[in-house]
Amino acid sequence: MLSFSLIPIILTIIIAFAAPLLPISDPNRANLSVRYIPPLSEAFILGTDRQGNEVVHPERNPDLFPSSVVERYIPPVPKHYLLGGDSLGRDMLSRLIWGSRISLLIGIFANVAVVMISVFFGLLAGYLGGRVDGVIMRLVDVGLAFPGLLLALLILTVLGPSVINMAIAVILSSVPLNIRFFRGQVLTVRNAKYVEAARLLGYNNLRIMFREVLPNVMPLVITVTALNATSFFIFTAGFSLIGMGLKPPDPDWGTIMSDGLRALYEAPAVILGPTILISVLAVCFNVLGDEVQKILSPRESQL
Amino acid sequence: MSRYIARRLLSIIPLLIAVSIIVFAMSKALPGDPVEIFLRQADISNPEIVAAMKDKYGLNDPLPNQYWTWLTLMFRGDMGESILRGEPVAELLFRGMRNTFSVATASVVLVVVVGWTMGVVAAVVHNRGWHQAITRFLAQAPVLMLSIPGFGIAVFMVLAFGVTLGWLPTSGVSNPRSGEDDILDLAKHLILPTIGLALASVGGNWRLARNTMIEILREDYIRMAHAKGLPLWRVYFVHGLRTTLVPLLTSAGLLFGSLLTGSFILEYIFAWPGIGLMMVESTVSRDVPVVMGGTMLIAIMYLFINLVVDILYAFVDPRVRYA
Repeated sequence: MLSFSLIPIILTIIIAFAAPLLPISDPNRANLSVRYIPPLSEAFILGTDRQGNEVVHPERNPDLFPSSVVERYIPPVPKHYLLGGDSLGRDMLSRLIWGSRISLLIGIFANVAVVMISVFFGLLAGYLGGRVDGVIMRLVDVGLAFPGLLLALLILTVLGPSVINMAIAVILSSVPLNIRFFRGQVLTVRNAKYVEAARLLGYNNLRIMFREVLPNVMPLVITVTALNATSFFIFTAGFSLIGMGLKPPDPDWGTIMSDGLRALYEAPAVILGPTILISVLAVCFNVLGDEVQKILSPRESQL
Repeated sequence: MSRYIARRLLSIIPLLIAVSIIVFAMSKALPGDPVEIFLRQADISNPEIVAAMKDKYGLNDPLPNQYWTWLTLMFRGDMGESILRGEPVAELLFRGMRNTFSVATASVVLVVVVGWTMGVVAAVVHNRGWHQAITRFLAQAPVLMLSIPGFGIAVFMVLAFGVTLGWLPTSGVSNPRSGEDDILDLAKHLILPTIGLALASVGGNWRLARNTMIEILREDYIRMAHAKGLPLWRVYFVHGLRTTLVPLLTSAGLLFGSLLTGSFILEYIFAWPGIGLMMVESTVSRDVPVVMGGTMLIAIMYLFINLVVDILYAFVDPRVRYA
């Protein structure tokens, strides 16, 4: 199960990184004559226009374009649209691959940030207790009073839509729940014998927190990171979908979905591509989280 | 018990105050002066008129006074007017709430009927030691349901049942040709959003029901019931099920609470005019009064439903009250 879930994840990451090296067309190059061209179909490059851009058409006949459009005719070269074209005739395969870069980048960045912030404050609150705990947890309670993505939506209203703001909003709205979770885990460890021993040895709080407590909650940190990854993909895709994330024409999975949502009947393939990718990755990350949990804490997962 | 309720009620007051301060601060942090924007639409830029207008609407008052005015007006139900739609915010939110309520209720019903039933069946099958394949399937199916994101399911269903087969409508609450009160039409429109919204929770409750009941069926009192020679169905569905229901009821209550706050992404995909879609549209167009009012309404509702669930839980399980 572990390798089954890892293969798609690693494959996606490799393809995303290798995007500039792959022989795929420019994800933002529009070609209205192949608008909503279905997957697995073939078009032909008939020549180049005045700007040196390819002129593509589903028909092989070069006479379809007057010389005012096509500057330089060439013998028609077939061009394959493996996953079809979108509303502007842009190559879906290339958009999906380039889009994965942004989706993965935000997913990974937000995930790392959330885990680091939450672990830090969770450690402070759980280990130090007292007034520090009180202040942090009251703030967490306030954050948790906004269900789901409401806080993120509110933050985006103030900051306006952009990729960075979307990352900030997703991070801030996920941090409270994670702080509460990690604090709970720290509480189960803080009175362990080895922590007491470290205290008797006269180690200072910082050292105990990061050298004694943190390693012992680390398995959970890793599990939570894997499980969080799913929700971050979905959040970022969702925000781009509703128009609060990336601005067109740059692709990410959410903007491709929103393009596809407008053409459900003409070109269902457009929305199907990113949806399948996100769903498969989400399932993989969930399985990965479960498997990691089984490996790291075998006792709790016997049922 | 009344003491517990009072304590829990008091505990949400500071939260509500904090939420309202955040919402108010947000409206102040937005770029652009509302009076200047308003007057620019009427082609007035005379600084004297702007100043007089600001004075009239109390925008020159100290911030705490402004906050207090806003808060008291809001609790009287006056949340201002939507910039985008020109309707009172309270009316808009009420309409959105109604639509969200219908799909949330349908989802909870689906979760209870399918999720709980399948979970209980799975536990009984596990307990009776049926064929390995069936047991495994009943244990793994909910995990898969839990993992697929709701909007993935939504898109697949829209493409399959709406676009390809043409069986079900894929957007909106009603067909414009049939009237507002056509229940059958509403039910048809409800099917896809409900499944999209509920499927993950069906999986979650299925797994929860299964795991809880398996644990409970190992208890001594169940062995006792068997030893007394009670019929199997009585042991499972009276002795076992009754205890299983406690965590399930809590989970359904919390689910209802979170569903009532609206799902932004799913309501957007299905063009379901609930509170979530309204918040999304208002956020995108920066319709601040609706965002403010909607945020307050959603947060208040969410806190109160959680409170009710907590109290019910304490009612069912007395140990909680004294914790």
